[in-house]
Amino acid sequence: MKDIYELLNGIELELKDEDIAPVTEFEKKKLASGLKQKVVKKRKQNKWKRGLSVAILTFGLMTSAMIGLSFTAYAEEIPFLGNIFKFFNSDGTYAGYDENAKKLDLVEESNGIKISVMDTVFDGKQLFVTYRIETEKDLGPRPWLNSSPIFGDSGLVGSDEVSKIEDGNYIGVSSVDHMSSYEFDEAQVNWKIDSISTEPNNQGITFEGNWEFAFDVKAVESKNIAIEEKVEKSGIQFTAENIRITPMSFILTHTFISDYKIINNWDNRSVWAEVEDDLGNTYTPLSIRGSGQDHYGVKMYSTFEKLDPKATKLILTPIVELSDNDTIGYYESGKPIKANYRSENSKADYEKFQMEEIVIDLK
Amino acid sequence: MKSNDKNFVRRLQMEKEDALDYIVDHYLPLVKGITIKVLGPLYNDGLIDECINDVFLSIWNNAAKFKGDTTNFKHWVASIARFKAIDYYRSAIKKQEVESDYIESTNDNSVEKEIIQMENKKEILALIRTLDPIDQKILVMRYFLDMRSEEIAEKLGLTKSAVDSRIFRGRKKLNKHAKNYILGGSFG
Repeated sequence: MKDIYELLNGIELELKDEDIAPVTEFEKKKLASGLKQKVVKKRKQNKWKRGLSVAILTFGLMTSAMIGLSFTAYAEEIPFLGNIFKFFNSDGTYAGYDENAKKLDLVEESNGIKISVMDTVFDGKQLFVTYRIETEKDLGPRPWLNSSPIFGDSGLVGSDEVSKIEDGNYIGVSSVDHMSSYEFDEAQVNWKIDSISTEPNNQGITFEGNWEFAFDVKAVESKNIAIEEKVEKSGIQFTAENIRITPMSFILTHTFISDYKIINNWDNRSVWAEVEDDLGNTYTPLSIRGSGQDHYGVKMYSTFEKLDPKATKLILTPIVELSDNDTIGYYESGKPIKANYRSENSKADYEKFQMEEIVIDLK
Repeated sequence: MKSNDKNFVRRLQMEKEDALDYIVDHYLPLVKGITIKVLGPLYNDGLIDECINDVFLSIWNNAAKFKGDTTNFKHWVASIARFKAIDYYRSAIKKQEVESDYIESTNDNSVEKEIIQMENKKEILALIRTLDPIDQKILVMRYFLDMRSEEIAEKLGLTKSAVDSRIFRGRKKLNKHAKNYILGGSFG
């Protein structure tokens, strides 16, 4: 869709000398510093959103399966059971979360909107909080709580999924990941919400209020299996570091290092693993999060659904996806102008390949 | 790394803050000049500053939509400045009209006026998008940049009458659409 800024490309106004106004250095400095403050604020939000989009992708897969369900069947159930994980569990991704969840049932009401925090589960890395919103006000099809639960002192990345049950009644799951390199045994969680809006980042109609929740949660018991296996192919080195098995999921930690040529040739590098067990079950990552350690190496965490307890082996197949960002024009020299994004169905270069399998003994 | 005349567009598109310093340094005189030319008669310095701020923020936020080289960039910046300034001028004038004690007779309710008064520019853009590229350009120049037919003709290498007839045709199309929009808006 072309907007005005695109339409203004290629329009040349007659520029005369009188169109150039005298400007002092002070004016320039004042304007530039004012702009930077606004821009930084905006960018912080963007980063958050970018962090969200990775995790939302997996939620998106999950919820698309949910659309076909009859909502009314669940609407009856939910007020009594507070069983929100079950609602988001139509394809089995949240199997086992409910039994391991801690009931909270904290309720806060402000500005005519009632938010109840129902249950929480913490796997040592990722925190899940389910909640319910009840109000007479029209929060639209998908309200946005402009805040996430926070804990620990490292960075956090979160995502949020909300569904409308009926008019004035919504349920949601908020998940937050901490960026520390080690797992926490427990988390002291604070969730302070001061606005709800009909669109992200306080856009659309915004309802201000004060909903504040604080609670502690212990990590579920988990079993750690060290792996430290390396495979290498076409300039990418993949290391499976460990797998941690929780009662409702398992989490693979892996790192990958790209060589100089790969870094130079490709804008985006994505490396992850498909997992299968010796019984033939396949596991798809529910979420993949990662952070760069330095320019070449990246550490990733993938959370998979509940492991079949009868499985004795896991087979990891590392998948490498290399892609370029969109080209949005050309300089006079013929050099392409690259965007800082890649759009869906982009025709820019893309390559995908598998690496050698890594087999892990569980027993 | 610092922005220079070779890399600043790319750095701007990569959201590097030093590119902001660079464009303020190099394009503020131009943006200020164009803004003053349009908004000067209102004698409102606050509005001029606000508009200049808005122009630079829009450049930053929409940098990815820019296509071309440094010379094209200068023209793109100039067009945005003029478009924003005219936009500010129109809303300022509208406010003044509301505050005045008498109601001006508005018999000359031309399509342009109706279109300009449509609050949501997305709608008018949606209308313009239905036209062919050259008509798009002409109507953007006319409605968003407030250019005269002679100027448009000269820029596009057309005769004035060709521009006029294209505007007429475009306007007719827009009129049809706009009526739908306006009716849809008030009764829908």
